[in-house]
Formats: sequence, C-alpha cells, structure tokens
Amino acid sequence: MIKIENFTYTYPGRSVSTIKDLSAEVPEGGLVLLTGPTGCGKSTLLKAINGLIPHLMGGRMEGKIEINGLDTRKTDIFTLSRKVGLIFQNPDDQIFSTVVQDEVAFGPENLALPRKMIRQGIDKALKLVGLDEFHHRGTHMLSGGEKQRLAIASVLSMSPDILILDEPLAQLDPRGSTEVLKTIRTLNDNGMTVILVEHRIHEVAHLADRIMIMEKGRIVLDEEPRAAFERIDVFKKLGLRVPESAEISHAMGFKKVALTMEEIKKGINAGIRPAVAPSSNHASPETPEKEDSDETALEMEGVSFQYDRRAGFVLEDIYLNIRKGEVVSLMGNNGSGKSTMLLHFAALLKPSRGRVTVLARDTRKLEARQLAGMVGIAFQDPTLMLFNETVWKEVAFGPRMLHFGETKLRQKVEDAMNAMGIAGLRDENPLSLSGGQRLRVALASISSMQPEVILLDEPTSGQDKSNSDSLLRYLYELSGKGITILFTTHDIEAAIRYSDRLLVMNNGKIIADGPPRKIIKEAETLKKANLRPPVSFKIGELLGIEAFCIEDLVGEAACSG
Amino acid sequence: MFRIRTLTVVEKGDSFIYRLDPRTKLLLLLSIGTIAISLDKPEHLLLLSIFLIPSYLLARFELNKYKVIFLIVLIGLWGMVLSQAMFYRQWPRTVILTIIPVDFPVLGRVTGGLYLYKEGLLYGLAQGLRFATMIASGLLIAWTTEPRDLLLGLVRLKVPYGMAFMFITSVRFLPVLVSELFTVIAVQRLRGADTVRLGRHTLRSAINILTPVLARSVKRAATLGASCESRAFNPNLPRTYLRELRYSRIDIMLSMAAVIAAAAIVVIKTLFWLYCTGILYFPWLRWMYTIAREL
Repeated sequence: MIKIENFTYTYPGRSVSTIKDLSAEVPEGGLVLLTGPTGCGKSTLLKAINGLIPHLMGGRMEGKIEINGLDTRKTDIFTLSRKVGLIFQNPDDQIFSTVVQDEVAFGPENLALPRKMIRQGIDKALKLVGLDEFHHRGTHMLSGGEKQRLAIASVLSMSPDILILDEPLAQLDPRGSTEVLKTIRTLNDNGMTVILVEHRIHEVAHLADRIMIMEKGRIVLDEEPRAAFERIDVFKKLGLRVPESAEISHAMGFKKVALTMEEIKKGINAGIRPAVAPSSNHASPETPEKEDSDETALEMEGVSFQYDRRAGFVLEDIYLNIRKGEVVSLMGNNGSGKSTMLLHFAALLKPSRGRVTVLARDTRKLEARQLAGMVGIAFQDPTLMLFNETVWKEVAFGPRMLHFGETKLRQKVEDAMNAMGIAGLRDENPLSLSGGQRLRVALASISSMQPEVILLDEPTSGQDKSNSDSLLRYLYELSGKGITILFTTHDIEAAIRYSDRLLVMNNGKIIADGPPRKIIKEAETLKKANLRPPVSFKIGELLGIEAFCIEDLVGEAACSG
Repeated sequence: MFRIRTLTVVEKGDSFIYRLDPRTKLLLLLSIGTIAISLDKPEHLLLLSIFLIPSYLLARFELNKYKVIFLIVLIGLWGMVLSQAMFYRQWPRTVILTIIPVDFPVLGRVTGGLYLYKEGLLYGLAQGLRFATMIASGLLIAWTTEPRDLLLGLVRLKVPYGMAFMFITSVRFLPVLVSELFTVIAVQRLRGADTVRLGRHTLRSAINILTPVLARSVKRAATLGASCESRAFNPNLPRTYLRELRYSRIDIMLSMAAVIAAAAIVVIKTLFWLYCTGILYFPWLRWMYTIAREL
C-alpha cells in the first residue's frame, strides 16, 4: 500500500513548490492512472514514491510517504528499490546493456544475489513481459514496445511489490502500446500495484481502478474511472483527452459512462440513440475551408532507399505527389519508413533509386542547406533543435541566416512567437522550458523563415490534448496560405481532424493513400499497419451511419433520428 | 564514402580474436601501448603495427571498418611525417628537399626558408606509427568485444566497478551521440547555418551544434542515473555477476607473453636511461645497453 500524507516538495534552487500538501492512498493490487497537464508534478510524485526524492535529488520535502509501512525518507533507495520499480518514458535512455539478459540481471547483481537466483529472476521477469525467448538478443534489435517491456523486466527481476511507470507509451507506435498495456494488465492481474502516468488517457482508462488528476502540484480529482468521466468538464478544462467512449456516452445520454466499445454496444442494443442535436461546439469543423492547388510541392518517382547495402529497403518503389497547400498525415508502425520519407523531402537523404523533387528541384543535385527557408523540419525531440540562449534568438536564427532585413526579421519573429503562444517566453532559455513549450519554440523557429513546406516527425508525441490540438490547428491554418504540411503521427484522430490526406505505410511501401475518412473504412489496410479506427466509426457502423469523430456521430445520428 | 556510425558498432564473429578473454584483450592493449611508447625506431614500430594486421584480417570486419582504420592511419601518418619533416627544430638535421629557399621573394624572408629534414621525417614516422598502432589496437578491441565483457574484464582486473561502469556506459552511448550529432547538423543546415565552412564562425557553429547534443546527453545521464539508482546501483557496495569469465590456456599464454614483453622493454629502456644520465651503471649489463641503443 502507498500512503501519502501532506506531501510538499520543492526542488533545490527553486522557491515554488512543485507538489503542494498532497495526500492520497493507493491500495495493494490497485492500478491508478495518474494524469494532468504537462508540468503539474506527476513525474515528481513518482520519484518521491520511489525514494529518488529526497535521497538523490535533494530539495525540501515535507509530509510523509509510506510504502508498505516503510517511510521513504528514513529508508535508503537500496531497500526501496526492492519495493518500488520505476520505468521512464524513453526506454533508450535507461537501457544501457547491449544484451537483453544483462539488462535484466543488473538489479539482482546490484543486490548481490547468488548467480542461481539472478538466473531465476531473469527467467521469471522475461516471461512476465512476454520476452522469454529473448535472453541473448541484442537490445538494439528490439522494437520500441519490446524495449519498454525490457525496461519493465529489468525492474521486475528485483521482485518489487509496486510498479510505477512515467508515460511508458509516449514513444511507442500502436503495436508497441498494445504490447506494453497487455504486460501491465498481466502484472496487475498477478497482484502487483501499478501507478501509471500517461497523457494517452483514452488508451489506458479502461485498465485503471482509479483515475487521479493533478493540477499545479495538487490532486484535483481522485475517482474510479466511471465516476471520473462523469466529471468530463475537469478533463476538458485541463486540456486532457477524454476517451471517445466516455464522450459518446455523455452525448448519447447513457445513464452510466461507458468505458469500452462493448459497453457502448450493449447500450445501443438496449435502444439508446443519440438524443442531442449537434451543439455549436460539436457542429463547428476543426479545420477551415481552403482552395485546392494543382501545383506539385513534393514528389517521389520510383524512390527506393536503403541505409546499408546489406540491409533491406526502407523505402521501396514509392510514387507520390503532394500538392501545394495540402496537409498530409503519415501513419504506420515504427520502422515502416515514415521518418525516412521526411528526411528525403528535406534533402537530408538521397534516394538509392528514383527521384525526389522538392518545390520543382531534384534533391540529388541539392544540399540540404540550399532548401533552407523553403523547407522546415521538426524532429520528435525538440531538444536537438534548440541551441540559442533565448527563445527570441532561437526564433530569429533562421531569418538571420537567410539575411532578412531587420524590420522584416522582427516582424516574422513576433508573428511566429505569437502564433505559437510563446511571446511571453522571449527571454527564457529554450532548453529550460517544458517539452510542449520547447516544441512550440522549435516550430516557431521554422515558421519564422516562412517555409513553403513544413515536415514534422510526431509533433503530438508526449503532448497533452490541448497542446497538440492547438498546434495542429495552427499548422492547418498555415496550409490555407499555400504552405504544404507533411506530418507523421500515431494518432488516428489527429489524422482525421487535421489532414486532407492520409498515407499509410508498411514495410517501406505506401499501402493506402487518400482522404482519411476514406481510408478509415479500409479495415484490411488498418489491420496491416496496426491501426484501429476511432470508436465513433465503430459506433457509426452499429447505428448504420458514417461517423469518424464524435461530432459526426452526434450530428448525423441526431439528424437521422 | 564510409559512414562514421560504423565506427561505433561491435561486430560478432567466431575467430580467434573474438574468442579471447576480455582481460587478455585489455592486457594486450596495455602492453602494445606501453611497447609503442617505449620504442623509438620507425622500423621497430612498423614491426609492431604489422603484428596487428593478421588480427584485423581474422576479425573479418565489414568493409567500412577497414576503410575507416586505413584512413585514420593514413591521415595520422601523413600529418605527423609532414609536420615533423618541415618543422623539425633539433640538431643535427639534414635537408633533403628545399620547398621555399631563403632568398625567395617575400616568403623566403618571412619563413626563413622551408625545408624537409631527414631527421624530422624519421621522427614524424615514429610518432605516426606510434599513434597508428595505439589507435588500431584500441579499435580492434572495441570492435570485437561486447561492452558487457569489457566491463567485466575491467572489474576482474581490479578497476573499481563505478569507474568501469562509467567508462563502458559512455562507450555504449557513443552511437546515440553520433546519431544526435548528425540530426543537429541536419536541422541547422535547414535553418541556413553553414555547419561545415571553416572560418571566423567555426567556433560559434561548433557551440551551436554541441549545445543541444550536450543538453540531450545531460538529460539522458540524469534519467540513466535515476534508473540505475532505483535498481539498487551502488558502486561502493559488493555485487555479484551473472556472467563468468574463464581464462583458456591461450589466454594465459598470450597475457603472460604480452606483459613480459612490455615489462622487459620498459626495464631495458629504464636501465639504459639510468646509464646514459650517469645515475647507475652495471658493467655486466653492457650487452643489454647495446640492445637498448637499437630499440
């Protein structure tokens, strides 16, 4: 059992407490989903439960945290590590062994267990996470989901009673997420207490016994999931994502909030139908109207690419034409070739075969630098894009390199900062900002150059809903000015709402290309790429109507009903 | 053109060099380094470096690795030989080629004449071969040994676990670092930065490139540190190991031969130096002084 009493914590060198007078209890064998907007103190709380706070991080701690009766302040991390296992967001940052079993052995070795016990611990942990055939596999050969499961196994081998996970799905594709969630479910079924911090509430809510929401260092909601989603306003106010099933339950007037598709099916079979006509909120389209262009912005003709002659093709015989002003989303599992395609359009990779044309220029004859100001690219980790002392200098860097006049430069920098909502951060060091803010700075630093093409690799990864929505809406608005946008995503709802066209990739090939609403109907295609259609679509099928998001569902059904 | 990332990947193989115990490899590395520093004559250093060639051929690396090592050795040798041959300042020195005569207009007067010296060339050759031998032996071991085996080897050779862990972890994350470096350069090029041009902006460009890479490394180090701590890592406490290392007869013989050879050369050179400086002289060691003079 975890017991937190009046816990307050202030990081060293800071005057404002990150956690303020927080009290909570997690019973043995429970599975708690801890969520909240970026920077609300979730990760800090996890570190305190694990004992890293205050033992490793210092700072000022008040109140008390007890793990199965052990006061974390009076118990050393060595002892606590046998009680609580902590998993971080990015498995690549915590896995340091080159062979799977070595990583799992690290904890038991540190506990000085005899070799026989270490072997038993490894076997048991790898079996629990479904990697029992992977003992001697190289860690670099694992997929994202396998790596995260390995990270879980590396703490399970120490037989902890409690597992805490800090956004374990953030870096994963749909296949990886499914694997990790299945593992978490199994562990919890076996009696392990689990605390899961996650923004992707819609994917994990149905697993949880309780949902806790934090805001500014305090818990503002602590309920079992059904009761939590009764208070949908709290989620919306904090910009958190509500599972579609819960939203649909509200919209369709279910007596009890449904958490799964099965529950919604039951309701529909019982005769419940949408009774609410589309409100002004529901009816308003997410994206503005715009005119189609016939001009080509990006083109691939018979493009194949391989990183290494001994390895297979990452892109294979791709033919693709993207028009100016189009917003194109790119989906598929990790390793399907999405990022490689982006890098080709930025002239950072040259095709092994075929031709890539960017704004009517053949990239084989181009240096990436020659596309500066015409093509902007943002990678998944914005940290790698920021290097100036202040946000203002960061956003001004590109225009300065392109020799914009001083007046124009200032104007473009101000416009970009205002559009991304970071004008108030102009004198801050970009690297000191939160993940969401850093991404906005990175995007502002691209848009200030007024590129004709913007390429984004997973712009919504690790962002809360309000952040990712406003960001994609802004990009869609840019497309109205003729700017071409190509972004990769694992979020099918984002693709539906904010793109004109969806490309689905699998094993280096485009297996579907067309309007998102058309592709969602292709069940075989989605299955191949491990994509699931939104809940609204499935409900629409049950109701005999075409729906791709909740607004469609409520509006259509109300009209037809 | 070869890919720099090739440098950081450990190969898998079954030949002799892969099967050696990591302790043997580390002792060989230490011994070769010691011998390379102790020897002065280019011909002896050349022999030492030739000794590495069969091991490289047996390792059967991918072609890119051979290209990399060839290029490093070539650049190292070329740079050392040329710079020492041109700027050798010790006496005696013998001019073998005049590049700029002292009476050449302007440049002759400014440089005082530019020549290639025989003694400088030989000295540069020795330095270059020393550098090449050490780099080649280091890479040979890095490319044929899994980091976990190196870690265990270092620990068994009594290197404190904390230090060994730190060293191996930094080696392990080298490929990630290289990959991030390329990403940063790519991003900056697309924002109009000229990241490869040498000139007055070179330092600024280097800072711009290193800042995000270092920031990411610091973040990664913090996560890794927290992850290790929460898995009971404590370098000061005793720990056990899953893997066992076993010395074969070949390992024992090679390790002994390497250590004895390195120790013998160091002792001979030290005694010779004591004799030359007039500190210590044993008449019955005259045969050894003769050998030392030739090394």
